[in-house]
Amino acid sequence: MSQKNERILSYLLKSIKYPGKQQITSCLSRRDTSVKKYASFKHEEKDLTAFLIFSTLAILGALLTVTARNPIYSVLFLAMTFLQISGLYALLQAEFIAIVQIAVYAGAIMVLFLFVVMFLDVKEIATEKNFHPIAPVCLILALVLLGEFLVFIFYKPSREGGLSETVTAVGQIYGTAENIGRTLFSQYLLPFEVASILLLMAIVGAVVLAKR
Amino acid sequence: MNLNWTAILPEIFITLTALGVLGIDLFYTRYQKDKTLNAIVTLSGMGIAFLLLPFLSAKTQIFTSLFVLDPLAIFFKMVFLISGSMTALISINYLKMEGFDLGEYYGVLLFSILGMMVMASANDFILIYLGLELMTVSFYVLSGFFKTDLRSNEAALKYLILGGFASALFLYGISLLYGVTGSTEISYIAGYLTEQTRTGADSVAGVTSAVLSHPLLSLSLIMLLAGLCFKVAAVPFHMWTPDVYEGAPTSVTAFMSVGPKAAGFVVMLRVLLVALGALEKQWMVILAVISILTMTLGNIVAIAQQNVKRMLAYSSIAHAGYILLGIVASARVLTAGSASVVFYILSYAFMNLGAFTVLLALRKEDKQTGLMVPAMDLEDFSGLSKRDPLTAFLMLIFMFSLTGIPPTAGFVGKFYLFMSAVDANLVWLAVIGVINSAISAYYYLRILVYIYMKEPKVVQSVDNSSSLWVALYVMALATLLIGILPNLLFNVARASVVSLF
Amino acid sequence: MDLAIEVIKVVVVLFGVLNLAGLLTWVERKQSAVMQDRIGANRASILGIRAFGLFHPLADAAKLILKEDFIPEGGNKVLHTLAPFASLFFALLAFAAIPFGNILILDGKEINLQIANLNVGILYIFAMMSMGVYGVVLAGWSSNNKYSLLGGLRASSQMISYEITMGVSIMGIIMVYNSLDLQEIVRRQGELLWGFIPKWGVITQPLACLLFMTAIIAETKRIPFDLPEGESEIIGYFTEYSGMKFGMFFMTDFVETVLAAALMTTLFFGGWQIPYVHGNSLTIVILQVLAFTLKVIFFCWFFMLIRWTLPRFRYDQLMRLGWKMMLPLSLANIFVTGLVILLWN
Repeated sequence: MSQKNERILSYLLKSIKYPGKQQITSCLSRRDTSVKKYASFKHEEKDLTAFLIFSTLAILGALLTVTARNPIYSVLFLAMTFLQISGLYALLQAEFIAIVQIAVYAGAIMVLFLFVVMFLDVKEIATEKNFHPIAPVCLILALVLLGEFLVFIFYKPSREGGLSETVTAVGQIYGTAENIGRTLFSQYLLPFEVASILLLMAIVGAVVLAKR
Repeated sequence: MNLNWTAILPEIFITLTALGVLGIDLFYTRYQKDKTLNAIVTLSGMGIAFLLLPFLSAKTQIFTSLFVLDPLAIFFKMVFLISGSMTALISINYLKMEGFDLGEYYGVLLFSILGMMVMASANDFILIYLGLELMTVSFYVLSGFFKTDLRSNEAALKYLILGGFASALFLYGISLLYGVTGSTEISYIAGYLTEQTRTGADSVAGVTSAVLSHPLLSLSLIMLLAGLCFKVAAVPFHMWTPDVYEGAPTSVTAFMSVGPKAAGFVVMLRVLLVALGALEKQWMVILAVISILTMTLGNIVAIAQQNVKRMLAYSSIAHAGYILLGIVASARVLTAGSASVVFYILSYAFMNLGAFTVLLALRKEDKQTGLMVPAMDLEDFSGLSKRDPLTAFLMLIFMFSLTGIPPTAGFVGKFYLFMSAVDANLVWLAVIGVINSAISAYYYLRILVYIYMKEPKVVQSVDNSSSLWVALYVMALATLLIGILPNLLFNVARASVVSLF
Repeated sequence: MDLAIEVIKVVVVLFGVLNLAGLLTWVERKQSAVMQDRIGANRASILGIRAFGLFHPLADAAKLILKEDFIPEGGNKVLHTLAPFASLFFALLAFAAIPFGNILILDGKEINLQIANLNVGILYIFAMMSMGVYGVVLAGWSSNNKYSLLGGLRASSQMISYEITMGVSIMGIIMVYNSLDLQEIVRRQGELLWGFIPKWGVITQPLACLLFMTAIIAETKRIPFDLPEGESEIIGYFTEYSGMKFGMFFMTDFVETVLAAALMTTLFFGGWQIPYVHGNSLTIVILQVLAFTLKVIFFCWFFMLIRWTLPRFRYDQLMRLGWKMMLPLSLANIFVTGLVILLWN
């Protein structure tokens, strides 16, 4: 089990060249330093497995969201994707964000999506394959984009070094509510306030447009 | 942490005014038909914020590392506040005539200005993004403000969907850039990338550093450009412009063709010239192509338009192309190029708002119902000089300015833009710009042909409310004054951009 | 060994919660009988032993399991089946973060009497409760019945509305006890105020306590907030359910009542704390677990009392109460709490 994990891990580390790498690595290699308080079985070793499960399900959910013919299913699969992403956050030590992701996105926003779909009473989308004439062009463009991304992911610089070293391993308390709160109300005070005004504005706008 | 609160004083004032307008609407003018009080509060709030700005301009002030108040930011905030107050002035009677005199209009307008102001002095991509969203979300609402008008609904929906997509691209670009550089702060990114250029140059000649040649960086550049080009309506991302501009209330269209564009360009200046200055070879080529496409497409399609509002929409696309040309030039001649961009944006604000205001003021009689409805078509302008010579003359000024005929602001602005392109050894680009100006003369002057040389076809009337005319006079005077005395303003523009580098 | 302890904790909590929920069906009947001067359920008997009708829950379960499982024509089979499971699943998951006892020190080994020690425990419970809305909405939609759909929408908008008040009213508690970790909050409630009053949530945050209790009753959809079900006049989201699927909704209701009681206990009534008694020894911890259970049972009973006392709200009254009275009050509560904390230090 763990041997297989090591193999996958080393493969991932060798092939993936993207800035989030360090985070995953740090998450995986923290097994020596982390302080275990209450949890009683080693879940670090399971982190890679968990990562693979979460990300696979997230991608699957996203695919099903797009391909499902019944809009209700689309919404439910999207909610599933959000749950998986929350799992990924949890793996990155961002407990607070993970929970908020569930409570806000999966719990509140997606329910409103469901509301809208139900109110509109959208039945299954017509099964006939009436593709738009430019669909092939879209497909080609999408494939090109996918290709580009693959190139970027597996790109190896000709020289060593490269991407910033500032993306470093995060500590255990990095994603706690206390830490986020402190950062939010000191360094990011202004963006926080602007975001709150943005939300207020959105509420006012929605009421204006929906009234009467 | 030591916070310099004076730096965000204008923003605080605008926020308080916006909340005040909503409050007044809730507690005072709620059951009144007339919402002039809201407009007055809005205008005075913007006025106070405007007057505060010069007092803060002594030196660059910083409110945390994310927010700077440098001369460039102050200049643009003034542009936003001027165009915002003009919009408020022309809206007062327009909203009443159209039957949508709601107090929230002014609140939302103020929030959009707040978003632009945040964008103008943001030194961090997170703040830029939030300002951008605040601005755009406000415009989603404003463009759909005529709730019973199907085209207004369509405009809002189109803008919402495409705008959301563009914002997502922009955000993706930010996240990739963060991945590459490890920060979202513009000055940090600039320093980091410059350092990389230096280390790359130090080692083997001709080999750039691994970071600078990393494709992720190019990808993030492309995504950021896509997002910004959407906001300024540059060509591959211009599709929404004609429909949204046509459907939205004319006062909103007027502001939308000026405010978000200016905000988009100030962010472009900061992102391209400062943060990604090390990548200028890459973005110069991309932007040059976009600029040529934007100018040419905007001008050529504008010729085919019979609807003046739609024509002005395409014309605003073309003008985005001219301004992009200035940004391309400023890759080589930093100060002169960006100063001409800043200068042109201010002149463009006055002349374009002016043109839209004349369009908004002009109404015609609907043949079926006998009611006065907004005049939109070229035909509706015919013979305007006989019915209302003053309005016709003002339109003449604005059209001359948009074409670039002296002695108007548009001429001087274009002159500086093309000169900076020549200075930057981009003569061919300047030539394309001049050719495009010549093309544009056709459709701008065509309106004047209708106004001065044709007989009236419909019963016209011009809105004669004093608020609108105050705004019209201010804009016409400014257009002329800038054209006659350009040096004064150009020096201010130059001084404002010097702080960038 | 560690794994065994975890498993034991999970089993104990599930056993306790599900049995208490089952028992509550009986309590509800008996309580209504007491209040209406009747005798109440007492018919079910095994070998002639009636035991005050305590066998009724068993009889109910048998009945529900044996009933025909019906899916309406044109309804969505998958979602119709999924909905009750989703409801019950998330309701039960929420219990993972509730501490039912202190940290027990046994042979120098620390055993935390809480299934999952999360430093965002409160938020976790809210997240799980908000996921519970899915069951309701899906049940309403998949039944292919307009009344069910409307009932589902009514229920979910009620739950979403009151979730906000619930979350906001909790903020005061978080501010006072300076933590999101429920175990930590309970531990802080063991301290004494001015040396003699136990620093329970109800004493430091009386208004929040009242608001939270109202909101959580609305959240569990019990009278006076039972419009989503309203068996007598308006039809609810599980109209088209029968058999054990209905039973699961029924059970969710009581599990949520237990959850509400547990949350009231944990946040406002000192959790497992017994005033003036501290320690980690086996005896004390057992006493504390007992105290927690008693408090939870008390609140379950108290909710029954409310249920049989008050009449039902009208829908507009419900919304007005939620948005125009409770939400502003809970916001004011945060403000005042913040002010007091600021001045206190």
